[in-house]
Parts: sequence; C-alpha cells; structure tokens
Amino acid sequence: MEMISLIGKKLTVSARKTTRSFLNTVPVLVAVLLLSGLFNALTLPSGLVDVFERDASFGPLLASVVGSIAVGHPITSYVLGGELLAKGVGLVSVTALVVSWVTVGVVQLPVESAHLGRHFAIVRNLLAFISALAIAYLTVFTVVSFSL
Amino acid sequence: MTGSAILKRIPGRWWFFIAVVILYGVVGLTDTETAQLGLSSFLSLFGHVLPVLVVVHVLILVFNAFVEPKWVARYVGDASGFKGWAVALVSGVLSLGPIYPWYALLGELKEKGMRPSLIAAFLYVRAVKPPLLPLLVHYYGLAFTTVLVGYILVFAIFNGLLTDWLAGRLKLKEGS
Repeated sequence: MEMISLIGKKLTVSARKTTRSFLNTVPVLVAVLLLSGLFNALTLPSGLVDVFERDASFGPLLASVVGSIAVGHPITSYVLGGELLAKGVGLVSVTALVVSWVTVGVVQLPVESAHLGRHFAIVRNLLAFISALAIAYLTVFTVVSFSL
Repeated sequence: MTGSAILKRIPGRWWFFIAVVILYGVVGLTDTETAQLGLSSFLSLFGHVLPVLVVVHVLILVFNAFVEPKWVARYVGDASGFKGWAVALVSGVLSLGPIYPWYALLGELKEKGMRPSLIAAFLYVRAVKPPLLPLLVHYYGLAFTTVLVGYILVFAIFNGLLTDWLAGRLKLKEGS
C-alpha cells in the first residue's frame, strides 16, 4: 500500500513538472513550425533546382546553406537530390544538401536552445554545417577513388 | 499594473510566437496564397509532430518519476565510456519521428547528468534512418549509401566531442 502511494506521489510530482515543460515548449514549437511552413511555401523544390543551376560554382556551399535552412521529411531531400542529379548538379552538392538537411536545423535553433542551451545549439549546428561539407567531399572522393 | 509592466512580464518565448504571427499577418496581407500554403504546410508538420510529442512527454513523465540520476550517469554520464557512445549512437539511429520532441527528452536527460557530447552525437546520428535506407540506395546506389552512413557515424562521434569541448569553453568564457 505504501509502495503504491509512493509511486502515485512520484507520478504526481513528475506530471506537474512534465506539464510545465510541455506548456513552455508549445509557443516556441508552434512558432518554429509556423516559420517552417512559411519557408516550405516560399521555397518549392522546383525553385531550388533553378537556384542550383544558376549558381553551380558555389554548389556544395549553397547546397549546405539550403539544406540547413530547409525543413521537412528527409525523403524530400532524397527526391530533390535525385532531381538535381538528373539536371546535372554535382554529386558533392547533392550529398551536402542531403546531409545538411538532416543534421543542421537553423529554423529549429530556438527550440534546441531552449532545451539544451544556446552555446550548445549554436556550436553543434555550426559543426554540423562544416561536417556536411566535409562528408560530401569525403563520400564522393571515397566512392570515386575506390571505384565503388 | 501599467501596460509596460504587463509587457515585461510576458516571457521571451511568447514574444517569439507573437513575432511569427505578425510575420504571417504581413505575408497574408501582401501574398495571401503564400500565407495559406504556409499554414497548410504548418498543419501537416504539426500533424506529424503531435503524436511523437505526446509519446516523448509520456517518456519524460516516466523518466522524471522513476529514473534516478545515478542510472543516467552509469549509462550516458561522464563515466559511461564506450557504453555511453554505443547507447547514444544506437538510440539516435533508432529514434524515429520529428526532432522537436526529442530536444525535450534530451534536455531532461542532460539535467540528470547525460554527457553533452553524447547528446550531440545522438542528434547527429539521427541522419541515419534505417527505414529510408532502401530509398537512399535506390537513388544513389549501395556503395554510396554505405560510405555515407560510415562517415555520418564517424562524424557523429567527432562532432559530439568537439561540441562538448567548444560549448564548454564558450560557457566558461562568458562566465569569467
């Protein structure tokens, strides 16, 4: 009986803390998702293909920037990458786009900062951005060099 | 209470929300179609996030109630060593759904003693999504996918260590 009462007490305290954390998250989360929606509405995949075709020389860097800001399901980045490859965009750029899409979150930064700290979120995203470029070059280099 | 005193009591997170609503208002006035597209995209994103948000908060509730900091320290704390990295990498790969709810859970685990390097590695390695690997192979080939996944795993560890070190130094610098 005492055990059940202890569990009930622990759950009540935890529920109060979790509810407070949930309610604190809601305004930032809804705002970030609203921003993501607006970004999706402004940058349709077909528009991105045009941008890459226009600025091919800065391909990998531009791709990393787009991938970092983009939000949405990773499938979108795979399909978009396939579309870009078919249009003649380099594999390094496409890889940078796909990797930064899933590892860097500029739009999500406020939510990440709120839960994990500002310094952590900024440093993590900056390193992930640089890593996306490095991985893109290394992956293509490895695949081409070893004729995989 | 005066108007400015009331405004000062509004937390920053609500100001961010108000700013985005105003932005939508401005976009709506100048380009109704884009605002509508944005709202419908928001609803679709919210629909994806909500179920995971609920599941993760139930997990947080259970964690807060029953998981002792010493357990967290043992598996993902400072002394967790190789085991900690294995837990972070495997759970990162297996963590499905949108990222937003995971921040809340990781924040709770951080409070209980999870190493920041493992949190960064967990977030990075989420780039590897087992259910989507066949699609990646379909578009880019098996060799490319294998090499890419290998590099992502290596960079997850590298980024984890570097993020912890750099964020720690920045924090110290700001504190001094």
